[in-house]
This record gives sequence, C-alpha cells and structure tokens, in this order.
Amino acid sequence: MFDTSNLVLAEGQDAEYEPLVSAAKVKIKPETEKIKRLYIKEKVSELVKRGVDDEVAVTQVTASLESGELYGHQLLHFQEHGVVSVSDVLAEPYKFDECSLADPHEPEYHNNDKSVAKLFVNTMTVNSMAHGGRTFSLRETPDTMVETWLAATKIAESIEYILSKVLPGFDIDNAEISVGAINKIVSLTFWDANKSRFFSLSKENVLNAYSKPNGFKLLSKVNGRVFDEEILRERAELTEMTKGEINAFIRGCENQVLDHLEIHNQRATLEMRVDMFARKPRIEMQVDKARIVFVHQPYEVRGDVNNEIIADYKQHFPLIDEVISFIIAGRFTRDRKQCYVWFLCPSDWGKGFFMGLLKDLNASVELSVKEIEKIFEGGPVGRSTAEFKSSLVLVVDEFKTVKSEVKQLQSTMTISPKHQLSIEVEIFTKIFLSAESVDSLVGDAGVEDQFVNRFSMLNLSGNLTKREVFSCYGSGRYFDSVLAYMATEFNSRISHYQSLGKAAAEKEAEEYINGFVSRHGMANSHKRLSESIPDIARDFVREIYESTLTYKYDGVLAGRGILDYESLYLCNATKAFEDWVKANYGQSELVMIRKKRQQVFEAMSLDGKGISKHRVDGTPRDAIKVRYELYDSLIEGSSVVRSFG
Amino acid sequence: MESKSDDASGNTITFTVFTSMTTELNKKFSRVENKIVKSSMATMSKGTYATQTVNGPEELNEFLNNLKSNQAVSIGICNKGPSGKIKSKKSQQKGAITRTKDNFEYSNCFIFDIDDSTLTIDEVIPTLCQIDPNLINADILVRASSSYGVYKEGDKPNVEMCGYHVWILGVKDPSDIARYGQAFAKLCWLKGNGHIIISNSGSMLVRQLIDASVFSPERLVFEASPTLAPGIKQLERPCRIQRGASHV
Repeated sequence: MFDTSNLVLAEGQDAEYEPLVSAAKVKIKPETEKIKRLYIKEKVSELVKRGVDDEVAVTQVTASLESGELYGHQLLHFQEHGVVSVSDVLAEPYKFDECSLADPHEPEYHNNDKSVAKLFVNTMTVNSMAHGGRTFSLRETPDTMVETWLAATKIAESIEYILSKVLPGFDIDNAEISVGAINKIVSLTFWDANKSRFFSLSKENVLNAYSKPNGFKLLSKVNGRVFDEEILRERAELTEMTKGEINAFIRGCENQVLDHLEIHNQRATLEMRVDMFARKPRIEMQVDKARIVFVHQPYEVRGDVNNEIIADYKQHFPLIDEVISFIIAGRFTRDRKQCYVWFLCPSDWGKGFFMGLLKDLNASVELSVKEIEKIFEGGPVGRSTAEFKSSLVLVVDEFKTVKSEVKQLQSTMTISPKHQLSIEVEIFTKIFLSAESVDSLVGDAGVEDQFVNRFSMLNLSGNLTKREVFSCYGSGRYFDSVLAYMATEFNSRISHYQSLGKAAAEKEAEEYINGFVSRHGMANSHKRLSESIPDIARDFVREIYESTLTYKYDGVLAGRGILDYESLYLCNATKAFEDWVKANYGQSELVMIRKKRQQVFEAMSLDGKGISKHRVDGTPRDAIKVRYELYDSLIEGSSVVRSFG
Repeated sequence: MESKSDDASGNTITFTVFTSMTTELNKKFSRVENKIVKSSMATMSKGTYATQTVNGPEELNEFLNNLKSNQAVSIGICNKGPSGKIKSKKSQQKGAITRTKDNFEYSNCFIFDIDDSTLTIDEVIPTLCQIDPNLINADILVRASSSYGVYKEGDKPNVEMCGYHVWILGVKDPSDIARYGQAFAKLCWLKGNGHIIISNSGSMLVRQLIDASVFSPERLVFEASPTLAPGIKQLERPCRIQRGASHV
C-alpha cells in the first residue's frame, strides 16, 4: 500500500514556500501589469461600444479584476442564452440558475468553451473551473465609486509626474504605482481637521485613527503598497541627490495621497450604517459628512440549543418566534414607523432575561426615556457608536411615560458621545417594557393616534423563574440555550433576507411588519383618541351648558357659557378647556388631552372652525358658537329651566 | 482512517463512475476554419453514479479505456450508497444527490494531473519520484490525456506537449490525500518545479508540475476517448504501469 504520510514538509520548508512564490510574482509583476492594462483597454472598449459610459466601464472592469466580483455592465457568455449583461441576470436570476457559461473574465478560455462555468442563484455566484477554479459574485455596482477611482488615477498620475521630473529616464512601470491601493486608501479614509487624525476603515470593520506623521506608512500597510519606495530610493541614490533631497522626494510622492485626503476627504460629521448586503466596509464621502458603512457580521452562536429548554421557553413566551421575525424584518424594512413594540408583562415574566439575550448578542442598546429626550436635544450621552453597530433593537425598560420624542425614534438619531465626533446612527425595532400600564400612552379617552399607528402591544403573563424546566436546568444553562437559539434564528433569517437581494428583502420585511401589526397592533385593543374627540366635546359642552343654566353650579366652568337668544357661546374657551381638563383628567392623561384642544373646539363649534369672531350679547368677541345638537338633548331631558333671552 | 479497501495489499481500487443522461462527458475535437477546436462539457446535471472496484492498474486501465462518451470517473466514493442518481443543485428529484463534496469522500486512489508537459511518458514517474521518492513503492498507472496525439488527417501529429493523468493506487490512508496533494505541490516549488503564469486578464497563477486543484473526491476525471469530427485522427494513447515495491 502507498503510505502518503511519509511525505512531510521538513521544518522550515513550509516557511520557505510563500516567499518563493512571492518572489516569483514580484519578478513577473511588470509583465502582469502590462497584460492587465491591455485587458482593461480591450474590455472597456467592448462595453463602450455597447453604450456604457467610459468612466463607468473603466471602474467596473478594473474593480472586477481587483475584487473578483462581476458588475452590472459586464458581459457573461452563456451557452443557452448567449451574451447577457450581469444586470440582466440580476433582474431575472432564476432564468439563469445553473446555466453553463464561459469564464466571466476570460470567455476565450479553453477555445471559448461555454461550459467551464456555472451560475448559481442561491449564492448569486459564478463558479468557473478555469485556471484551477475561481468563484465570482454578481453585484450591480462595485463598492468602489467612479469618483474615488478617478481620484486614485489622478493621484497615480501626479506621482508619475514627480517621478518623470525627478528621475528622468526611469521606467515608471518599475515604481509599481498601485491605483488599486490608492483607491482603497481614498475610499476608506477621511481627515478630521479638529482632531488632526486620519480615520480609516479596516477590512475587519473597525474605524482606526492615524496621526499625520505615521499616516502614509500605516495606510499603505493596511490597504496595500502605493509604490515601491525601495526602488525609488535606489534609483535616486544613483543621481547626485543628497539624503535629505531623497527623503523630500519620497515625501512628495506620499503627499500626493495625503494632500488629497486633507483637501477632498475632510469631514467632521459622521454617519454610521451597517449595509446588510455589502461584502466590504466602505466610507461614502457625502457633501457635509462621512458615512461609514460597515458590513454585517453574523451573531456569534455559543453553545448548543437544548430542545427541551427551547420548547419550554416557547410555552412561556409563545410569541418568541414572531418577535424574532419582527426584529429581523425591522432590520430590513425601509419604513420603520411601525416598528414599536410594547411588552406589558408582570415583574417576574422575565423582562431582564429577554433583555439579557439581546444584550449578550450585542443586538440591543438600552436607553431610558430621559436619555432619548437628551439625545434629541443634542446633549452628550454616555453611549459609544460601537454599541449601535450591530444593534437591531433599541430597548426602553421600565417605561412609565411616553413623550413626543418617542415618535421621532423612527429610523435614525444623532448621538454625541462624550469626547467623540457626533454621529448619526440607524435605529430599527424599538421595544418598550413595563410591568404596568402607561397612563400617558393609554388613557380612558383612548390612545393618541400617532402611537396607535406605531405601537404593537404584547400582553404577556407567567413567571419564568417558577417554571419546572427553568429550575431543573438552572438559569445559566437555560439562558445559554435560548441565547444560542436566538443567535441561530437571527442569523438564519438574516441570511434569508440577504439571499433575496435588497429590493425583495425590503418588500418581504414590510409585508411581515404589516402582518405583525395587524395581529398585535394597539388598534386591535385600544380606542384611538381621535375616535373619542366627539365624546370629549360632548362632555365639555354638557358641563358648559349646565354651568350656564344652573345658578347653583360651582364647578370650574361656572359662568363661562353665554346664552344669547337660542345660541350657546363659550368665551375664553382656552382657559375654560384647560380648567376643565385639569378637573376631569389625571396628570398622565392631561398632556394628551390638552394637545387635542383644537380638535375638541372644532368638534363642538357650529362652523367647525373652533374659536372665531362672533357677536355675543351685541359685542364682537372671540368665542365658540356651540353646535346646537350637542346640548339639544339636554334641553328636553334636563331639569334646568329653559330661559333663553 | 484506513483504506476503504479490505484488500491489505492495496490491489483493489475503488472509485466512482458517473454516467450523464443529458450530456457527453468526453472531449470533442472539431474542425473550424481548418483548425482543430477542442471543447468539453465539464458539467453534469443529471445522471447516475456507481461505485466501481477493479484489481490493480492493468484492470483500471482497461476499465478506463472502455468508458463511454457520456461517462467520467472521480477518485472518491459516495457516502450515501454504492449507486444512485445525480441531480443538479436546483433539482427537486427525490432520492437523487448532488455531486458535491458533502456527498463524496476519498477512496484509496488519487491522480496527479500534469498539463501541457514536455515530459515524455517514460519520464513522468521518475520526475514525480524526484519530488516524492516514496512513489517508487506505489502502484501507478500513467495515461496520456484524452487529447493526446490529435491531428488533422494528412498532418503530422504533434506530441511535443502532452498532458498525463497519473493514477496512484492503493493509498493507505484516504483521509490524508488532500494534505498530501498540497504538500506535494509545495515541494514541487521547493525543488524548482514551480512557476507563475499570467492569464489573459493579467492574473498571476501559481503553477507547478502538477495541478493542485484535483485532489477532491467529487471532481470529475475525464478519461473517456474523445469524439473526433471527420478528418481528425488520434494516435493510440500510451500508458505506463509501475508495480510498486510495496506490491505483494
């Protein structure tokens, strides 16, 4: 028998391999660059002939070679469908599923063989067997913007210009100026003049800060070598340049990159996003701010899922799967107006347990209503941007009062972390937890319409700690198992949405949110305040009417109404309404009802305008002329003597 | 993990034969504008597979010589059963499996794929033994690739550049094949048999004496004779067999 285990690389041989291959690559690089340039020229001209903009064609072809991705205008040579653009495939992917095609970058490979590659829709990739096998992802556009690529090209040209001036006769190809590396630096870095720092996004999804003196060295280290400094120094040393002049010459080349960053990529305001569909982090330079776009990292699944524990938790919290789906749908839907959920649950239900799950996954940020108010006032908060990076849920625990700021929590908010740049962050699902009802949200008169339209409500019951399975396994094991379940479910649902592509994911997520709201929306269980306005108006009018006719009445509205012939008027209506609300509603409801004053006035006024000019007792006054039908029924049934006039 | 074969001498070789129901799996040589054009259908979306056992390199050679144009082999065997149906990834066909890594595992043989080589067939085994001298102990079948000696009638066949499939038989530990393949490829470089080639798009491709990507159990090995268009001929494909020192 043949024993393969006899072949073992000797100590040190493994370490020798990589440098050997690298050295061979370095030797052949100038030749490679020439072939690459010819290839780009040929492919760009092919696309331009088909009507593609020259700059777009250059960006897509060049970026595709760097990234291994295929972009909208690039052409695929299918066996069955002929030549089709990537955009056309993305528009109707299932038509091309598992269809054979030529190698996307080199369709001429193997004598134009259109069976060396295959397209797979589930991963939206082309697997090619050319050159030992490679996989291409299909995307509409590269992360690289046309603008940054052009800027990188210009920077490369300015370095070439310096070289031609300082080192005449030097073959510029030998400097190995890398437009790709410059493009990476330009597209991932901005300069903050206030802090005198370059901020650069690493491929590990981290925003690093570099000081100016070390900027070029570190940016090159992270993003790739911009030019071969060693060759330039060697060549410069052959001239009569002094050491100082050589250093200045190298710095001059480096400054072409750094100056661009300082001039064109200077920003003081940040916006943070996580692009669920991006494969690489990027920075989008907007007019007045830098938008940092991170890629999504799957939630870490630690430990195993114990089926008995999960079955038990689902018995305790039957809506857990729905809530998980809601949270993930909330991450993908574009309109997050309806992504508010109120958990009304007794103190032992397990609010802390649920919040702990979200917190352990780094999937939530917990804020109090006071902190939310402060954030909207622009005050500094003790929160870092990192907390919001992978957050799916904003949690408000022990929620006792609802303020208007809560309505502004729809999609984004700007936080000002202490000693850091203020930054706009995205917010998705908002979960409010309380053990008791919240009067300022739910009053006798109903719930303010804007909250009914936003909130879903889960009325939960039970005591988690008293469950047999919970006691049997202990809180730690129980928690770990539900945590693993939640992470797995999060990841699986996120993968599902990602596989749909952005537009289809948004649509499906929106449909899920609508379905959830139709099942659990507050409108199912609570009356809208707008529906109560006619009742409030009727009650208010009743008291005005009675106070006007009953001399013994000593309530807050005593003497406020004026009967002029057959009409009832209310003067100083605002003051009268304020006094009446104070006397009839609790402190929490007061704010809500007060806000509806104008609607109540309109509902009770004969002309529907609320307060307007009327001649009352012969004098023009600002008053409400009350609708007759609101007190008409009182005339017949009331015990008061009708004594108009 | 020990060999799949019960045969302690390693004489019994087990691998898989695939039969496509929709496409040919061999190479096709046709004439376009008086030039020979080679094409192949490298994908198989529907068909059958069967685990095949042969005794020794001679029997393997004979078996491969008799493959039909819609047949190819792989060095691995299916872990779902000795035979069955193959489907594409999108197919819903019940009971059929996909030809993917999760359904196949290594058996007791593998191949070295040598492409576009200037080596003569007699130089192949000695060259491989320079990289791994232990190969002298292995049972080996060297077959010229199915493109060998294809020529236009009336022209002189060109056999200066040739490809070879080198079957290494009776592997003791199948689970070590992938590691062995990668280590062998690295050793090629360390012993001066590595180089970089530039693709048409300017990519740098790491190449060595052997193709390092073939050490996979589900990958198709195209051994069937090619289909030749009228006016195209092929020389008889040569083969060499080594009975290793470990052969009992």
